[in-house]
Amino acid sequence: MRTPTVLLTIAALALGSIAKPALGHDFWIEPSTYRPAPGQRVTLRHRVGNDFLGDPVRRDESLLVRFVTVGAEAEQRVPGVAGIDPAGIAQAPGSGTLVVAYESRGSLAELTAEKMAVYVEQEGIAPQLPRGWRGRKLLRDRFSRSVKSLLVVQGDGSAGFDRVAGLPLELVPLADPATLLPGGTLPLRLLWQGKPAGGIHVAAISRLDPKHPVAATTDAGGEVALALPRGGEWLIKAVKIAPSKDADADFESVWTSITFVAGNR
Amino acid sequence: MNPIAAVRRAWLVPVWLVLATLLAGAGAARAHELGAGRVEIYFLPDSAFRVDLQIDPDLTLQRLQVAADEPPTPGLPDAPLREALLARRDELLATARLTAGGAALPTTLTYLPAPPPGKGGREATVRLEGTLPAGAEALQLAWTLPASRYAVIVHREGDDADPGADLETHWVEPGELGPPLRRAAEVPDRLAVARQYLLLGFTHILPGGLDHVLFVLGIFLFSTRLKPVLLQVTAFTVAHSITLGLSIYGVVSLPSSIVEPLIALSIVYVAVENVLHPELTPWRVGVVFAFGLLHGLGFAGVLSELGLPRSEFLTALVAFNVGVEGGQLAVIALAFLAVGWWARSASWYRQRVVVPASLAIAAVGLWWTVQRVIS
Repeated sequence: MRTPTVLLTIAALALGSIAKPALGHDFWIEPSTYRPAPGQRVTLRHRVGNDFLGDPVRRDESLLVRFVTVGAEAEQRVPGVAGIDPAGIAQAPGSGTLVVAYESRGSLAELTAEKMAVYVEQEGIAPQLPRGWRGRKLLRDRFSRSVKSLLVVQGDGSAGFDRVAGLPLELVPLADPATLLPGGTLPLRLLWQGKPAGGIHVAAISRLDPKHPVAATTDAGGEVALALPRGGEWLIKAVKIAPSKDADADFESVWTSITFVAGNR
Repeated sequence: MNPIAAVRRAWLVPVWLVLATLLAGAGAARAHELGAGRVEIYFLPDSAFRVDLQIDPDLTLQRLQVAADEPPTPGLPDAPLREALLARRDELLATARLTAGGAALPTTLTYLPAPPPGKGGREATVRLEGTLPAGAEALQLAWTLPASRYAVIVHREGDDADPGADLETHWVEPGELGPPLRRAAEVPDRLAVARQYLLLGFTHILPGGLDHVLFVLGIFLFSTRLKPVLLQVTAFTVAHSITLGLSIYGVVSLPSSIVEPLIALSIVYVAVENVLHPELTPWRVGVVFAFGLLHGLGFAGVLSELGLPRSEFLTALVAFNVGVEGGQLAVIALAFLAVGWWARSASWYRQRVVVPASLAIAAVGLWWTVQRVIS
């Protein structure tokens, strides 16, 4: 290993946030299929980007807290090779829904007020931010990922679609997305540390029309109902801002998402 | 100075992406996850340049469609995908803004499809070619297509002649203007190189080289008198300077699987001898000299990994060695501060300091020896 190169690489990484906002901030799991056959192997890709069009992200063991499948019987670690895309491989169970869940460690990001304003506008997080953030020149955000995907095994039933994976911030469907009709409403509950999270902006993005998301805010019980105009692949996301536990950040942001195919059963 | 990360070969970029990811995960400030995007920039004769943007064609088409507020058409076969992308030539060109001195550089675009399945990656190449205007020595790129940080690798004339040559790599946020990329490589400043390698040599001992630190402490604990310590330190320094130089110039070499366990064993030896034979003999100086030869090979291994700039090879080598000496002297100075010169003349010094400390050093050295042999 060539240490100067590493040092310079670190330096290069440490620098970089100039003025113009970098908007690749959504993170999700993209399986090779949402409808695997019983026992089929499914590759799981991590994606980062906007408009449900993401760059592949290699498996990063240094950031990984938990990458698991949660089935009817047991939780299993998702195997994978560090530094490789796809990030992991899962095996479909005999029936029902397999929940794939990924939780990352926090990473520090420095944001200019201008860049932060873009996030605020896009994610509807203004009510959650500390007062006076607009007056700050630079904001330090410790961001982490809490994402999941629903794989529904071909055959009878999709039991387990509402299984809670135990992510710090988690969207849980309260109705079966696999049986949703076009134009139907999907109720979800947003959980923060296992408890309902109210007053948080939730947005759903369709693979087929990513520029026109459907959005609503969770009620006091953490519930939100989103009318999804079509079936197919969907990404639903939310962001929770929490006070920072460390002095090196002004606040922490947890980015959650759930990917699934609506209808098609 | 622009942030530059040098890598040996372009194909090492994924490795560096991983390393950078791991290192960044350790706490460095960064914006978001690193993606797999890559740009290769070639500076050619007569001020010509070529910019190869590596793209996922399917994802790229969808991004262009969504940007134009059209429904995306994922999963097109190769031929219609190429056709659809080339129909958006202008939009594709607009995603990569090339400038020299703030002025836009005109370029021609060629699309090179991804190789067939099984014949390589699934990345296609968007090739931009042009010429730098008279007087322009650098260009800058702002690429808006990726959603995550991407690598820009610079190739210059003559780079390919030396397969071991370093390639300049920059990490750039999508949409942001990258650093100026110079047609001719910057010649490193001699003083800056000396400073950098001096620091690297010093930090290789303190705090990076605990095995060397324990060896030097073993020498320090050997005697309460200055002369025996100085004699041993001089022998050690001369010896490791010899093998460091010879090894870097390729005259001698030993695999690290042999050198590293022997270095650990040398720590055991000096520490045990501190307890059993605390008298300076020519034998002791000779043994320390021999161990110095071994440590020199260890330093050379590290320095080879660090790499030496071709244009300032000797400067870097000498500076690194001086840095190592500085580190060793600092260890001895700190040891003096810790136990105090007065304590060395106390009657209990040998029983309460030298013997237990030497035994502890020997135990650690023994543990490392076993560990290094096994690994």
